[in-house]
Amino acid sequence: MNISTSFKKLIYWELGIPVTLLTIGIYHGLMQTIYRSGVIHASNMAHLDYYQGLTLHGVINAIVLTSFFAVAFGHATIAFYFKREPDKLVAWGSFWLMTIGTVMAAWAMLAGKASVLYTFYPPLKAHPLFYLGTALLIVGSWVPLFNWARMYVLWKREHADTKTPLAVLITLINFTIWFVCTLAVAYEVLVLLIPWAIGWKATVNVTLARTLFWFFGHALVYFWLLPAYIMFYTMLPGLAGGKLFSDLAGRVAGFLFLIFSIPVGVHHQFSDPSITKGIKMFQGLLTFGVAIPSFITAFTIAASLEYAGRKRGSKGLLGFFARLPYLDPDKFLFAYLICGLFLFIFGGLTGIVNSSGQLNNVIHNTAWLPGHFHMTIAGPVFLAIIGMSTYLYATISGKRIFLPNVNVIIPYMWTIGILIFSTGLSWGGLLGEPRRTNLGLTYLDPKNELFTPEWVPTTLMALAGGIIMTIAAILFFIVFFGTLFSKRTKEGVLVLPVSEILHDERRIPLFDTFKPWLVVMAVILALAYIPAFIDASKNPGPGAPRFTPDNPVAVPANEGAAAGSKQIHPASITLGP
Amino acid sequence: MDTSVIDSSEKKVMVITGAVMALFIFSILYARGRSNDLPECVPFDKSYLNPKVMQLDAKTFQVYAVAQMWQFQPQEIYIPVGSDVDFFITSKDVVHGFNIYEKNVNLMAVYGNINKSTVHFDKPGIYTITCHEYCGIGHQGMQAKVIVNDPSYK
Amino acid sequence: MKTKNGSADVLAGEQFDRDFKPRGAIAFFVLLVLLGMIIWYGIYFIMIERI
Repeated sequence: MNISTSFKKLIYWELGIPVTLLTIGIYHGLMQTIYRSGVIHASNMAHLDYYQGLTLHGVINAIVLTSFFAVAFGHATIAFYFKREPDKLVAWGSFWLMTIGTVMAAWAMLAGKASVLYTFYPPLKAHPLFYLGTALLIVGSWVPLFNWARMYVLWKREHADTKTPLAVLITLINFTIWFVCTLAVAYEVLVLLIPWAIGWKATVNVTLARTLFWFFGHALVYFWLLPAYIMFYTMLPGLAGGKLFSDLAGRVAGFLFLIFSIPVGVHHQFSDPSITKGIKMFQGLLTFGVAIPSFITAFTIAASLEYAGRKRGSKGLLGFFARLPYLDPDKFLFAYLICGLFLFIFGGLTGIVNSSGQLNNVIHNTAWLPGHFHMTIAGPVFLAIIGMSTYLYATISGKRIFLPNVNVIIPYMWTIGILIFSTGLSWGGLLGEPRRTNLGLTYLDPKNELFTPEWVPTTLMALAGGIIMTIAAILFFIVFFGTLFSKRTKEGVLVLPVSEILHDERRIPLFDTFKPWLVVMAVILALAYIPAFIDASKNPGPGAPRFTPDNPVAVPANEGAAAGSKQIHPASITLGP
Repeated sequence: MDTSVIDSSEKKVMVITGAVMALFIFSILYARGRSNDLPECVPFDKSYLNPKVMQLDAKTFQVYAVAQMWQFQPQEIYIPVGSDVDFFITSKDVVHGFNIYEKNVNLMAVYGNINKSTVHFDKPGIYTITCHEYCGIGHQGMQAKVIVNDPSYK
Repeated sequence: MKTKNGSADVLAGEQFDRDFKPRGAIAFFVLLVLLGMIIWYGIYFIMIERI
């Protein structure tokens, strides 16, 4: 499909900005493995403090990169399937909101005024511009949904009996989930946190803030994941040389995500006070529900790959895995997607452990958790984002991929890195190694009284994995920017791989209509979350004053917005007992 | 709805998935017990902000722990082996973690809230309480100890 | 791997599609579930042991 110069530029910027910021995100990822393994015993390096770097890492990699990409890929998907470009004003308006928000948040983080991590739990306070910037980024990413929904309604009028293309369906489902879940974090930020951070309100209900955040926080991971799922269903089978086993499976999975993605957030609060056990168990049960579409996907994609392998002459039950284009540079997306799926096996299964009631007591907030989520967000999500970013940029700009043979091995190198990294973290977590902690200063310093030798091999494994991942990431930057700076060789077009479908089931209205599912979504959300919000509002005691990361004494109530936000360079740190 | 449209293998997949999940749910419920449960909700009261250890009888204790930037109070807790201990935890400032990993104690300490977990210490030893939620620049030094004595040590 | 679309090829392709049963995918899925149970019960028994 030929697209306008304006639309091309929009995609370029929406892919380019996050990939550029990703260099900072990757740098801080590597730095953390260095700090945590005790290679250095320091609170900061190159004027950036550990926790500041951790905040940058989380916000850039998990919020900025993923949101920008979801919007860019959404624009590309909708335009490609409807053969119409999104509204120019809306699309660019969304871009500017996201970009300005990102700049605000980035300033606050780099200035050391927002070392609160991407979860920004109160009563740790950040600079108001951090909260405002994040809110703008999120609101900016909502905006395209309304335009796409209008385009969809128009398309349906012209194609009343045609199935909505699966990629479009899942895009709209994904952004609906995103819009609904971000309402809670928008409320948390705009109503609870900013007035308190500025000093207008003296206290904040911490449990309510956390509950609002996690209403958003779990659905967030599906916002990350569903673009990868679109690629698994609609692109991977064709790239493998086969067909999608069942189109209906993708639709069922999509609608199950719609109803189950959000009402499960409390499983991140199993260890929290004031939320009753009944709600925790109920949302734990619903989490099993949200695992179902992933199991459907695992089977359907495996069946699609089996079709491809057998078509190429594979023998035996599992022989099909051997007949797939793993190292074909012209089909490099296959490599990125298959590696993501492989990592997701472990990421998804460990996720089920985490939401299984008391099993959570074994692993909550230990290093097991980053071990888990690097096999999900840094697995299928990250690989789909970087692979598709390169693909989209190259095809839209009409340029050849720079170093295509390197491009195709990047996901394999990354996968080996993650496997080693996450094994180290998971093992460490089972030995009580905490997450979100600068271990090198105490627990991994042999001269310190808190030295914990059990965590030496585990953090060294994470370091080894982290180094391999960083090398893979550097190779990606070389390929991406090499492609960016190379010369155009042909006409740029918007083209997405589209797989044929084996069982192209007839249109079933139930799996091609939003209304009934939105109703079910609302009902389940009400059942799951009204009690949770009541608990979070009624059960806690007094609200909390403001604290900054460097000071045990609360910020005085009469101090304004910039109160207490010093650059963190502690001369001495109070060490434990 | 005409379910014949759904391929029979997809249906098999749903059945297997459902069966395994039912097994997991049963296993979770089976293992629930006084010393193996999600944290309990306790209504807030200012008295919990005073750290102390109370002995209710020979083998029953209550530890009222308080987390603050950047230490736990009490810092050393002595418990005779074979005791049941209720840990209560709250925070005087930001959110902290309270993790005794060898005993499944995994709690968040939140300002204005009281959290509770019950443990049975059947083996002597030194059990470390670690803060595992980022709480500021001193987070990596925040540990306390539960010292479970063998009576013969006294 | 495309062959020239002669009518014999098309019929053979359709036959392949009709006969295709995802036995391998079912086997993969069962292995996946077994792995899930190994990981899950691994943590479960760690939990039990720590009570």
